[in-house]
Amino acid sequence: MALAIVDLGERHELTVRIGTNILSAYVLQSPPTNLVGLLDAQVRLRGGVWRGRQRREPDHGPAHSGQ
Amino acid sequence: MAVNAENQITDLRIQVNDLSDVAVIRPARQDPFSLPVSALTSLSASAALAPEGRVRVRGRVTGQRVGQALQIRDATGTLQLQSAQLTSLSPGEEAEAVGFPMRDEIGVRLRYAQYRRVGVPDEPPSSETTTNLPLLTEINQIRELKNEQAHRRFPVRITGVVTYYDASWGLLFVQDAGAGIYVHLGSRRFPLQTGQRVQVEGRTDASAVWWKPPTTPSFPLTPTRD
Repeated sequence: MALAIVDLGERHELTVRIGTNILSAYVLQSPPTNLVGLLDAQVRLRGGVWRGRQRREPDHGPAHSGQ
Repeated sequence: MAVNAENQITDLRIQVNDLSDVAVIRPARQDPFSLPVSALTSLSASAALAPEGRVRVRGRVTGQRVGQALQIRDATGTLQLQSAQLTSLSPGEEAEAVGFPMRDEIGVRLRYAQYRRVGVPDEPPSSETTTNLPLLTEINQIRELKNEQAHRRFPVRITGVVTYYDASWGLLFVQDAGAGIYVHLGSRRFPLQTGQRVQVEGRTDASAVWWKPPTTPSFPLTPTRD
């Protein structure tokens, strides 16, 4: 499924829309200016899913799941 | 994952290593304000919203919370826009906006919207009245102009350093040896970085109200080579 880039944040952050869901995507090794042309583009991302910390549980650090 | 009181997921992110992992399937439109104008009710009435891409709407402002939301009305209905843009508009002013139509519990809203007054061009047209005006090469010269002088559209060519650039909202501030100034980009975007040395060519304008004095050179802008 193609993702729609709906917003560009500071640093390396993209806000992407998947259907009705809004997610953040972080391009870890790219200067933010390289992302400028991506606003409103349809893209396919290859990366891992990072799930934030579980509420009320110790910090287990980032967990990655490859595509 | 982070959850809220309703056990809904609130924090899920995609980590992408670098740009080689971003495949562009359909590039963005160069000028989103060149999209055809959609009637407001056509967005609200659509059961299946366009799943991709921005839309452009136009109407008169009926309300605004600056930095958060804007409401406009056209002949067919009203629409609320979510926008972090800080441009203040008055009720009754005609505005156009681009954004992503999304349906939520409130209804259909245009999210991540950018907007501008209708009738304010990106680049002031050239005018015979400006041909005899002196070229301003320092930002302090621009800032010393009174509003009525800035309206005369003095030609500007300044060289300075980018101190702030936000491509999302088209915000650019440039600093030279004496002062800093806001540069009105209109809908154009450039691959700029903070600290980059640039040359800005344009004309003064007193239409931007949130810079004092409200004097804004417009483009073309050419990054210089050091």
